[in-house]
Amino acid sequence: MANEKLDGHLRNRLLAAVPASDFSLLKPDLRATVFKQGAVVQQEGEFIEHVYFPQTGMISLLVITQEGGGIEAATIGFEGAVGANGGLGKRRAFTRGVIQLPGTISHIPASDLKRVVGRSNAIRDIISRYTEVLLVEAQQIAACNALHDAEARLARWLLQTQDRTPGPASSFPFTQEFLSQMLGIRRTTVTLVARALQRAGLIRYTRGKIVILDRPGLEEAACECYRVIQHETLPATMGIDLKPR
Amino acid sequence: MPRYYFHVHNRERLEDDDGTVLPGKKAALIHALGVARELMFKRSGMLGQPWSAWTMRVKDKNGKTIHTLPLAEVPEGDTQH
Repeated sequence: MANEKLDGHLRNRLLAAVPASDFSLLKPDLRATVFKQGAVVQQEGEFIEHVYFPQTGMISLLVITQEGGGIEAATIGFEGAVGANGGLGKRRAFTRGVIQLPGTISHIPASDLKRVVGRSNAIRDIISRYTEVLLVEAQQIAACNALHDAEARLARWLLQTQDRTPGPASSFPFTQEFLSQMLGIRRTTVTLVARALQRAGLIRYTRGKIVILDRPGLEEAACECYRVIQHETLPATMGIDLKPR
Repeated sequence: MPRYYFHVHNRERLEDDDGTVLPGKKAALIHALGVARELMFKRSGMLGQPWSAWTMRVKDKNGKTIHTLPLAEVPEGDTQH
């Protein structure tokens, strides 16, 4: 099993898009660590110290308001990275990055990534293109949170999360409290809306666990935002090829 | 502090089985209005039935109904929690 570790890093789509010669510049500083649910990998207001490339698991970027409330701005799994722009220069984070599904995450100090970026146009291109993709995702989610109802948003959120987990997984350890924070609605509302999706046969919902039963049905229940932010199609739709030519 | 349960029904019945701990009946009513507004937000429909057809019933831990709110009668307002 030669290169087992290298293969692990390449489970992340962005790292897999790096040409082999450039990846060899990155590899000495990349580490893979298993992170637990709830761990904070990026703190809002602080400079980005590390850049995270999930192999498995999922990270939410949360906008935290002064009253302490929060709402999710983006969901990141094996298709993306957290803090990637920290590889372009010293940058401050404006969101809190929280591990929502435990998993193995490749990471690199931002200063090391920046040094490699200075020698690799390919990696610089990947980071700047991915940053464009993330902007489109975040603006769509912002509009969705302001304009769409709780049922459509919960359906959209479950689908986007499933898409970003390898497998893909169909069972998720999410409490109402947690979903309430992701969607910016009361826990009671989450419970009632989840009960409605369950009654329609789309999910099974027990305390702290959601199972997706009917994906096409859930896509019907979701708003159009889900289709916009589908990571398999979004870069191409934008006219972006993440892989350098 | 007491725990209150916020069920909604029309032909179907959606149960809030966990409930929420709140200081008292007045706080339960404020919570109910907030949830009702979130449920009615924008598109307002569920299980093929408009939200205006639903009624929320707030119960205490003994199953006694303390507030009944037809969603159609809930005034517009701030949904911040």
